[in-house]
Amino acid sequence: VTALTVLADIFAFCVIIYGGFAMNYVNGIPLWNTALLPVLYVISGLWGGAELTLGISLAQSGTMSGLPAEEAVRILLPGFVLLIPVYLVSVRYTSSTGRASVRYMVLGKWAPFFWLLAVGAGMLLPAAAVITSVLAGTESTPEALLYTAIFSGLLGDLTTRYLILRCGLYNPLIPSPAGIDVPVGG
Amino acid sequence: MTRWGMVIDLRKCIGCYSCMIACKQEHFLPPGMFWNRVVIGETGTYPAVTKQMYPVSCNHCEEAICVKACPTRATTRRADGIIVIDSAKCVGCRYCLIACPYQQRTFYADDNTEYFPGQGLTEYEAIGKELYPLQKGTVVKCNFCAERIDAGIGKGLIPGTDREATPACVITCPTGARSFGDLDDVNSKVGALIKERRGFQLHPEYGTDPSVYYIT
Repeated sequence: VTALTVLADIFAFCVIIYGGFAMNYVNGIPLWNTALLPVLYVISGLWGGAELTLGISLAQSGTMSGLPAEEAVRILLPGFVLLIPVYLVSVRYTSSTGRASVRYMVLGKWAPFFWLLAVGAGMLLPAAAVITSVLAGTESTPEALLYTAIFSGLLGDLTTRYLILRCGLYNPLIPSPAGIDVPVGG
Repeated sequence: MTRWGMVIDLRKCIGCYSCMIACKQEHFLPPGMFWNRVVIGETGTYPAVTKQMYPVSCNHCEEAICVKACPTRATTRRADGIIVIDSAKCVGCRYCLIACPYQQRTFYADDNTEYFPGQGLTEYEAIGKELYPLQKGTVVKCNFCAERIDAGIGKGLIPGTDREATPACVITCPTGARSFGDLDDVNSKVGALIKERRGFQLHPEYGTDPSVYYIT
């Protein structure tokens, strides 16, 4: 371990946490303005990084057994999978805009991306690979499944981040007695 | 210490858009860009429908999120409370634009827009590009007509009282819905209006303490 590696690790971690904290600062968007977002971004960043490390290792040496990243994936995946619903449920109860943002992501226009890519590809497939590797051993797990799980996991991770960015709705600008803001002009 | 602020009487606002146009003229804003907007909303169901007119612009917040968010310190708060953008320092990252909970900032992306596309700049646009040049690739917004205020004070005029030293939207409003003055002066017109008519700010829960108040 060289000084450069340590420095690179520190900067990489800063990059991981910056996004979450920068978005968390925007208090007009309830989907972003939650304390769970920086945590989610850190977990998501580490999870994506571990997957990438495993993928590169698998491609280079044909094995990923015994790597620290393998253990990391087994810990980070459940964390990531549990954090997403906790994050969405907590946002849902913050305000009507928070509820609308979550609905927009989970049931609205972006629902196919959420369920197919973020949940299906990003969580279920990697979970299947991790469970198989735990039960049968990493060496016995089909290489195709590992590659697919790594690729789909990364895809799901990026989709989740994109959806959080895309579905962040602003609180209505003007107050309304009925709690409904319907701009018709201006 | 002076803190310039505005009070908008929602009972007087008729949604005529004069303030929007006055602002556009004052700053020679290109097509599609407004620093001052009138948001019109409806609540209720027929026949009990209420139409609400909310003139909105930069709130020049005391605790401005845009100032804190700007990574290059291009957005600053002057001693008199006006939030200004130094276009020479702005790198166009647009973080302030997203961070502003009131969505009152605009990114000036294209300086080739014309009011009559393909026919060249009108005389008005040509003058505007000289007098009030906007820097392409930077964020722009309402500045409470700081140039009018500064020039007026230089001449010994009082902003909010003398037309020449008062923001264009305030002096243009045909119903007198807008008032401008020093919020820190309890004897000023704006101070009295806020106190007597229980002025309120947009989204006080954000803790930004806007300098634009509304009365009903």
